[in-house]
Amino acid sequence: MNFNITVAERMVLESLAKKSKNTFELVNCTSLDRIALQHILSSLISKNLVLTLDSKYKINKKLNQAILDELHDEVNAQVEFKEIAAACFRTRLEEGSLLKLKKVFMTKEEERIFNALLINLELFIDGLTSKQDHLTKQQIVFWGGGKYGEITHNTINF
Amino acid sequence: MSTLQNSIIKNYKTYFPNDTLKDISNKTNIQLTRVFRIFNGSEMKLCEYEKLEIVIDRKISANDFCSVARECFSSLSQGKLDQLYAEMKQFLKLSELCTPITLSEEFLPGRAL
Repeated sequence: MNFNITVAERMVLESLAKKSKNTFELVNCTSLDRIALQHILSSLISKNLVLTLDSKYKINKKLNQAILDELHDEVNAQVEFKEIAAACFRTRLEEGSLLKLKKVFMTKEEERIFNALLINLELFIDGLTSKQDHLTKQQIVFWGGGKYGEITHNTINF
Repeated sequence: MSTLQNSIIKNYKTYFPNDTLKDISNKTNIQLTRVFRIFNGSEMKLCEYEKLEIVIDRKISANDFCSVARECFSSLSQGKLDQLYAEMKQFLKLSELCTPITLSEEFLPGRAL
């Protein structure tokens, strides 16, 4: 079975991972509209990823390894990442959104400085805690890069 | 009638809505009586399915989605096909999120606001 978890389904799972919730609490936490949430919950329940108990939804913590492997499937992760990046691209002109891509030359020294800055960024991000339960207010950040030639080569040959 | 047979007959009617049974017979070289039978529930043979498919394909232009999809299927690496398949499934799932559904009580705890 391939779950093909969508970004929206993963958001609901992340919300329930913190604590079990009823529909109202899920709407509040994720800001998904009720119809979309109904579909998502129906899908997650049918896949046995979410259970219902005492008028609330909760994550099924007794998932076997095969299901956990499916949830971390690389192709699906790639598709999710692409969808997030595409959504960021579509909303890049909106207030509060940011998306930049540049192609630059770096000397070895400049590359060392760049890598050090990335490490600082990562340390900063890792130091941030999820103080709030409102997932809808979380910031999605992603960074990375690679050699232009290698990336282009990969798009042709993968 | 099988799902596949239903699907190709539906496609044919979509692309040739005004075709008579005689027109279908002329285009596909399937005997008129057979055309009548298969469009009224008789089981289609594989060769008849292929003949209908060829006629439909000719109607569809090279830029049409299905043509490109078939070309992808025969030309692309397995890795690219896996990714395309996963992306298409995701789009389908996401597009369903806007359609109202009715869930049974057991699926809707804490429904009242």
